[in-house]
Amino acid sequence: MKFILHILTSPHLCVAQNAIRFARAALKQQHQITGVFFSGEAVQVACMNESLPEDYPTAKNWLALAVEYEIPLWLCVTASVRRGIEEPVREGFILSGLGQLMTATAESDRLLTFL
Amino acid sequence: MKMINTQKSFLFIIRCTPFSATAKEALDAVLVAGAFNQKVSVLFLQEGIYHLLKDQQPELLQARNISASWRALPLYDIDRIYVCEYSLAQRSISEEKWVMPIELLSVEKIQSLMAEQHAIFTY
Repeated sequence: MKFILHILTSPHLCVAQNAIRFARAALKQQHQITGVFFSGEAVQVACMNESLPEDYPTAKNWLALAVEYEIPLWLCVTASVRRGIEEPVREGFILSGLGQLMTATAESDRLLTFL
Repeated sequence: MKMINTQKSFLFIIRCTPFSATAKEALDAVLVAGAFNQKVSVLFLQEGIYHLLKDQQPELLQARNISASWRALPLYDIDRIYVCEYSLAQRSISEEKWVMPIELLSVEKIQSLMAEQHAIFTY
């Protein structure tokens, strides 16, 4: 099954970790993750000035998964700009629009929201 | 960006209060889905019901009045606007003072609405 993940929660919260755990479990069972769309507070995952904390290593874990399985990590551009995140963003993330979320959702079997 | 070839049913569930940044993002997403020619429905649930209730005073919170933006949805051919009956009962709201035409849905009707969707977005 093709899953797309929509994440709205801060990378420092437990829910953000659950999203990664879900992605790992799904990929392990041969499902596909067509993309991960970060909006709202979730875009903070790409803050350039933030160190990659070890207790909640959200950005690090996403980047590792994205490289291994070639999963695009999209950042909602409106939500990003509103939070002071602009180009260049952390390597591995792509600034993108809501149209991307709509297209990818139409092409996936399931949309999962983490909020 | 690719356009979507086949029309899909997208339901947007708005549960956040109207006085939050999330509310604005929800509105943006609904409008984009409409612009991409999808079959869009919007359901206001829990705290979300206040988005469409008349006589809100967002200026007291220095917040923006989002009701006016929702009211424009029919101009974008988005006219499946629903409010959860149970959420109203929970908040003892009985009067029907809405900023736009809406349809009240029972929990059973919400279940069948959800079952018809290709995807459900939640804010």
